[in-house]
Amino acid sequence: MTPPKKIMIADDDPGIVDAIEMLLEFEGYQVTSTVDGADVLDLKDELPDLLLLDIWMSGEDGRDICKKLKQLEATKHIPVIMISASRDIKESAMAAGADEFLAKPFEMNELLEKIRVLT
Amino acid sequence: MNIPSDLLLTQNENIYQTLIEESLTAIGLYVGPELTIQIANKAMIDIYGKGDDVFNKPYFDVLPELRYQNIHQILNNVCETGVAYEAKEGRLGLVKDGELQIRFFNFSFKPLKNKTGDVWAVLNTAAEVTELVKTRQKLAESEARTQFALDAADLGTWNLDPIHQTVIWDERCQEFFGFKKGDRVTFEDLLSYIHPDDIELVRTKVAESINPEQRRPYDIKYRTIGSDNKGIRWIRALGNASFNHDNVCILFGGTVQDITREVVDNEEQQKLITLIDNTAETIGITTMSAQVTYLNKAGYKMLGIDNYGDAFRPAADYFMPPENELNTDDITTSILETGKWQGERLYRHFKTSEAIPVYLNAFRVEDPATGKPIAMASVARDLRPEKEARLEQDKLLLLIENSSDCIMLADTDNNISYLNAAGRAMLGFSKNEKIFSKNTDFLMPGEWDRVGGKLLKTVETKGRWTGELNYRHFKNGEAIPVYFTTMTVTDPTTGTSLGRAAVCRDMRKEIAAQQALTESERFLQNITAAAPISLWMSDDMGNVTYANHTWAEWTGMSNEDTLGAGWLNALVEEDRKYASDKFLADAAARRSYEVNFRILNKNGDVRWCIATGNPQYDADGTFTGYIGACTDITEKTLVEHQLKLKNNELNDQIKQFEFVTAFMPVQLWTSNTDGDLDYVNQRTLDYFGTGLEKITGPEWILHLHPDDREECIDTWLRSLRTGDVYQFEFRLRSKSGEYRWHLARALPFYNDGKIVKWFGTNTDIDEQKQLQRQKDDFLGIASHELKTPVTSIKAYAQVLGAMLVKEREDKKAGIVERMDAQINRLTNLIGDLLDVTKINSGKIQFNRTWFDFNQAVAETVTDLQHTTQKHTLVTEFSKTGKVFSDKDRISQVITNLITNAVKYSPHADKIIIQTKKDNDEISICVRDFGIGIPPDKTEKVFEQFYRVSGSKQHTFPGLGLGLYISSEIIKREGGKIWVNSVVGKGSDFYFSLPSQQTT
Repeated sequence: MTPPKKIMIADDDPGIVDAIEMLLEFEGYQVTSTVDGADVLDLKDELPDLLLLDIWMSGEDGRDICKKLKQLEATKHIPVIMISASRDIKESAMAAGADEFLAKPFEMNELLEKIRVLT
Repeated sequence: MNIPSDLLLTQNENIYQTLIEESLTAIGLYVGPELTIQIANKAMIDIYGKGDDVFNKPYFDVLPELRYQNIHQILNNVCETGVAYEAKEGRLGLVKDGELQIRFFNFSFKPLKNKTGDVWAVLNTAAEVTELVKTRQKLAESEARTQFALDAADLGTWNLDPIHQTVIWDERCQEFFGFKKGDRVTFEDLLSYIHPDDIELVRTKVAESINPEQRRPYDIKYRTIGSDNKGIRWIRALGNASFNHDNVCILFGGTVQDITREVVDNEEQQKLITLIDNTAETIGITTMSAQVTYLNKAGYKMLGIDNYGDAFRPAADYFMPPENELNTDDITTSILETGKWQGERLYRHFKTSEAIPVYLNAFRVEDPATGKPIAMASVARDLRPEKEARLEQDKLLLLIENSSDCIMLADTDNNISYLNAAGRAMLGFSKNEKIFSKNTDFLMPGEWDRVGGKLLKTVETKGRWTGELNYRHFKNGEAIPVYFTTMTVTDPTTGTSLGRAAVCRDMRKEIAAQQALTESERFLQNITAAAPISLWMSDDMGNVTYANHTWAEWTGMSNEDTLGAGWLNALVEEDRKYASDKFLADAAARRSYEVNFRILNKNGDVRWCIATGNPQYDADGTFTGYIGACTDITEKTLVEHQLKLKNNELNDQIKQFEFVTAFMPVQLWTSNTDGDLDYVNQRTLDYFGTGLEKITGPEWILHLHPDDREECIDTWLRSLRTGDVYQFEFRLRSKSGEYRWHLARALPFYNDGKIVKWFGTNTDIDEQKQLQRQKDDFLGIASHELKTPVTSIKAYAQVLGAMLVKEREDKKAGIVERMDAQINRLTNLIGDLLDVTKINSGKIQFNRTWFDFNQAVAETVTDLQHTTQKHTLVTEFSKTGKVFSDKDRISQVITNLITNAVKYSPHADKIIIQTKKDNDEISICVRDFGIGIPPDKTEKVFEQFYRVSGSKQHTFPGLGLGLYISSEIIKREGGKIWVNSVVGKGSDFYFSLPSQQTT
């Protein structure tokens, strides 16, 4: 049996973090989360297999975080799915280096499918 | 007879001697080397001519003159050679009687030889033939002389033998006729050498001459044709025939002469005479004593002479009497002394005695050989045509000299050669003053520079130029405007330019007159325009005979109604009597008339009038009536009053306008058609805190936010160009440096169909802008904030659903599933709100790609089929191909249409979705069989917040945004959306998209 994949959720809304965490754990993933985008850049070890990154976080722009992650040698290989309430910024998210994009509210099956593909 | 031998011998000797002595033939015997004369008979002694004493003397002693003639040599030869010599008509010179005579002899020398053969003596015989030789010589000389004479006269001789018809010619004749020398010529041969035209003449003449009955003298001229060169000669032949006793012509001979030269000379002379006879000038010849001997035809004609007899008279008779003395004395003397005389004279017509002016050229005729004068000749040219022409010329010159226009002539260098009296007067020259100027010197300064080039060019190409010029008075410098025509003058025979002629009309008077006329016309117009006055006339009885149109306009009366006393009817009733009485009284007294009255015009308005009249008199002082005027003083007052009112009104309006514009809460401005501001209201100045000049100049643009400048100018220029309403939103910087949003609007102001001005306003919309942005921000934030918990709820619901399914709590799982559907509805509502916000703020974005239309429809239909069990979504696709658009948005629209179809057909079970492609359009139709839409509402369904009205309103949930959003999406994608519907039957919703979308 393979060890469960590690998913990290970064969203400033605790509701989203809680719900998604519950969903993903139910689906058998190992989930870590943060409501502070800056934490993502502090990751040293225990790197996740995939990052779910909210774009519109208080005080932080998810796209800036994504760009930095993709520039760092240690983290650049981590797949990133960016999430936003506005589907209009999908292009800028992809331009910032995101591997996938989801507009809120999304179907859970859709999220699971994308995670499955990327991990 | 007994004769002893010696005696016999002697006798014999005597006999011989006697024989010799008596012989007529001269005989001599010369013996020995000395040729001693031993024997010489009398005849010989006579020949010697030296007397009888010749015997026993050497021959040459007797005849010493022969010693040096060739006879000496001959005799020596005979002696030495022993050969006899004989001569016929030998020529000897002998001295007789002391004179050398040339004589001719037939003589011989015979040598007598001895037995050894030596010559011992010479026997000489001689017979004198001098007479014979001389006669013959004379004859020969005579013939030679004849021939010489014939030669000198160019005459040839000929003899015709009439019997044998042969002709004997001398050489000259042969030359004339071209015969070859030695030819034997018959008469017929001769004829072949005669010119064909003359053959018959020669035949006839010869026949006549040799006819014994006629014996005509033969004298004819004919032409011969040379056999060698075919040259033609004129020949004159003379001849005489001789007849014998039997009247038979035995000889016909004569001479021929080459007269070719004479004939030709004669012809030339004839031509000359013809020439002289036919020349137009009168030619005459007189003797040295001035007696006319010849006059040509022109002379006969000019002088009226009919025959030669009349012409043959003293030359003096040809001239007019007063000139006779002069003529005979001076002219004749002059001709004889100097050889010629030339000058004008008056001939006299022989019949009419009319004086004929001629130019006479007389000269002396001299004998070419001697040089002595032999006659006088004259050539006279009739001067009458010239005189006439000169007279015409004089008349023309007079005309030119007295023309009222200035006329001048100038040579090719512009030097004036003639200026007529008018020209002298115009330019300030006295009558005989010499003019040493060029015609260009008379122009005002600068005039030649102005027109010179053009003038010369036009004159050169067209021969003349006409235009207006300013001349300058030579003395006082005054400018003289002239109408000027110049033309080149060319020699009629050679065509070379002689100069230019110019005609100029002084325009000063015309211009002055025209100005005066214009001024007086304008004056009159001003008067009539400023004070419209009714004019009238009356006769001496006070009957109005004329009233102008103004009266008719005022009163509405026809001309007929006005005349006589009819005009009084136009007056207000109370005024009639007074006006009438006053008029008649003044007319009776012949004094000036003036009265005030009121008239009623056709509209019933009252006018106050002053009527005035001046009494008129004709030439002999008789009163003829009045000429007068009637002035409307009402109108004057009225107009003045109205003008005043208008001015006040305008001033008020302007003040009000200024007041209004000053307190109006917008910036007001006007601009000219170039787009430059020329007025702004006080509020504008207050906002910018600058002077007018900073706003109306090009600096106004600096008050705009830099980001707005370019588009603002583009929009403004487009409006200026098209005349469309100008509308633009920009940020203006206030005096405090703060940028505030303003809405600028401007409309063109038309006058006579042309834009003359733009009127514009800038309205401060900064607060609206802020509010709008806040609203958009709010909606954006709200929808985002709403979406987040919805997302959480969906996640919880899904996890819960999954858990329940896992626990086989199917019923509970079903409830969770419905919950999820409701969450989706909530999501859609939030989406709609967000979309409307975006549409209204213009921020809606499209992510366009190429996609297969039918496939997109099919996917949407499949998704939607899951949401309804009652309705079956039936698809009827035609081939559509791909379309370039936002797939998500198009799917959103299709979803909206199908959702609506389901919602509004609660009692139906079928929705039909059709697609097709027509030309460049792809369209879709969503057909339901529901409640339908009334016709007057089919347009409104696409409006924002429209909802089905009436009792059923509450039964159909929704915000009323779906079709509005769909409609906006389709419009923004360049397509159309519409609906066909029947109430109670159902609706067909359509939209179409261009298949060749390129944006």
